[in-house]
Amino acid sequence: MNSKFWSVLVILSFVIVLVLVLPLGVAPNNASANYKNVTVWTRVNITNSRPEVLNVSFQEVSNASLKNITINAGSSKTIYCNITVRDWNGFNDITYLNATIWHVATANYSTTDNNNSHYVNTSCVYNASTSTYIGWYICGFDVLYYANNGTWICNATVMDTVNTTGFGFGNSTFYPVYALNVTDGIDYGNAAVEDFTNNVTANITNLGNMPINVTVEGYGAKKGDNLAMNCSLGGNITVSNERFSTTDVDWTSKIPLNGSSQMLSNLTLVKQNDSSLITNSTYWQLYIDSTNNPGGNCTGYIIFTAVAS
Amino acid sequence: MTVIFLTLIYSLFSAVAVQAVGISVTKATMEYDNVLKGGYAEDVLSVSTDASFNIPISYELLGDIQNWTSVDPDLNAPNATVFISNAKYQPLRIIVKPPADTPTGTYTGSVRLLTGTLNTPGGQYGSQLQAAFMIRITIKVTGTEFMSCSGAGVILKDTEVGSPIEYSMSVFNGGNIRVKPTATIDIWNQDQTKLVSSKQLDFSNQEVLPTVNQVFFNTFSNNLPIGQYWAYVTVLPCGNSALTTFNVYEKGTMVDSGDLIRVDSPSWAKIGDVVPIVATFKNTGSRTVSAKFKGVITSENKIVETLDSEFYDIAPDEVGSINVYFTPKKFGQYIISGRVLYNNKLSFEKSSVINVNEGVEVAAFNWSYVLIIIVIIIIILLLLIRIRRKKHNIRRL
Repeated sequence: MNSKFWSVLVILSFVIVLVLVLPLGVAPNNASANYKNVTVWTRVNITNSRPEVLNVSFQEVSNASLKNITINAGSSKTIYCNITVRDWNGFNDITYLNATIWHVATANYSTTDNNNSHYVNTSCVYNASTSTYIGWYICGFDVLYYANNGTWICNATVMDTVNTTGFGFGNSTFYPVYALNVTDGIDYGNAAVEDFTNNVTANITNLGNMPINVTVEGYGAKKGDNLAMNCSLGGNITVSNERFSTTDVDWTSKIPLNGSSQMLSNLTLVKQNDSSLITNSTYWQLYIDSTNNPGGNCTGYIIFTAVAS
Repeated sequence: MTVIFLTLIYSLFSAVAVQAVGISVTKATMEYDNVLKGGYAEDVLSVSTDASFNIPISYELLGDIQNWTSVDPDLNAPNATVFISNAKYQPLRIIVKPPADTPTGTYTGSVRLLTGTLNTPGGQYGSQLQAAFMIRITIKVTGTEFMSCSGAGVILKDTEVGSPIEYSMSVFNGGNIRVKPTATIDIWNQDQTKLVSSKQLDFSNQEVLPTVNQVFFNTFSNNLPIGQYWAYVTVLPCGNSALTTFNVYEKGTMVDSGDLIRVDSPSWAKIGDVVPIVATFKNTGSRTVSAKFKGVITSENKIVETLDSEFYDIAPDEVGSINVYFTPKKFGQYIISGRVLYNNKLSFEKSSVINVNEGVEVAAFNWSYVLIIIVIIIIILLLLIRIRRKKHNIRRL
């Protein structure tokens, strides 16, 4: 009995060793037909993948179908960079996305921010996903009216939760905008007949992104009437009795206005370059000639016409 | 003393009264090449102002071309009510129609756009100002005809059984003679293996003038059964072709429409975290829909969990968030994909990813050890039975 018990125990131990221990000692290798080739298991644990920028495009907020952009004269216009991003850890692994836009001809990626040629947005907004790994982000820029016309690039840099980055870019064209802003009236005040009025300043300003020249012409009530003003109690003032100049000079040095366009000589209104608005002054003076018996309140019209420089 | 006081008051009011407004245009020059004698050409610019209030505008035509150039809309028409402001860019078409007897050559002129008077000065003598912009025009007139056109933007809208199919497409005439476009639409089944029907569209014999991009839209009858179809559209005489798709739905289903904008979840999570999953859905239909998110969570191509949210009522044009939760039990990458079910319609599928890389994994019960133990016990029992039988046999003997 005792010997049988021990023989059973030995057999059982042998079985246990076979079942439990031996498999641990067998490598999971598959020998192929050619004995020199051995397939070995390899394993790598990929913990993170780098985010990628797949596509960058510009668009106007008000009209998404327009690839090229017309900025607003004298104000700003919001434009978007639409950025498509892929991350194999899921698009929601992206923690940060910034975008930079710059004017190709006058700036580059690392130029200091300025409203003419370089804008940065460090807080782009996640908008939607287009698939499991692809997200769509929007970066808005309020572009000012004097931003240079021509080709602009939008560069997007994306970062994920472990600070790996990717980047991509797209381009667009900003159209030229020609814009003239003028003082909305020239008020000579009160004056007696045969008097010269004081010098009155009329400001003209370029509120576009292109240089312009300006012409002036005058009329009393109807174009070509050769008058500067018509008066409420009858009478009028001849157009040549209203004079102008681009510098502050006396009456005799000023140029008589007439009924056809006269260029403001030596004056090109270049586009603005920064937030300190540059206005150009024109100086105006009126002689109250008694010849045509002006009486009461006298008013006329002056047209400031811009032309491309 | 009184005079000085009055002078000061006058100066103050004069200074405040000085405002400034202007005019802006998007093109300073316009060039028309190869315009046929007796033909037609147009170009478009936009005019605006920096003023926050409405300003009237007018135009003047100057130079060689003034008798055969026009502006649309006609700002000078007696009943014209076109105003510009900083909130409104006014598009203007500058149209040129050289007479048939115009000699071949290059002609120049200008279009001057003028604002109305900007303000009335308050003093005895004053000038009201107008801002204007002179646009230079160059027109090259030719006697040689040429035809060039292209079709684009072909769209066939989804429809319901028995309802007409709405279509739209644009034709651009890049030549200098009129084009009378037509189109053929070949409708194929979902697999594009069988031609289901063909339609010939003549656009009511409408003409497209040179330099004009014209959009055509209309409907044609539909006797197609429910399903997805492909339309192969050829625009003649341009020769362009386009392939597009549309669906024919059951009656009544077109009323509801919506868009699953995205599915949000944290990108990284720990084992045991209760992870919120938010589906953002926009109701683009005309009535309130009852919407729920239905989806699955998969890992290594195996479904780990199904998702089925509560119903949420979402009003027309509203964006609603539908919440579900998930608790990962293992390390790995989980893909959440799903659709929104709204009034028995399904949205397109959207998905998101959760990466689980922290926490303690609950060890799975290893059934192989149990099996080994059972096998061992059975062997022992068999051996014991055999020993007992042997003993029993020995005793018998």
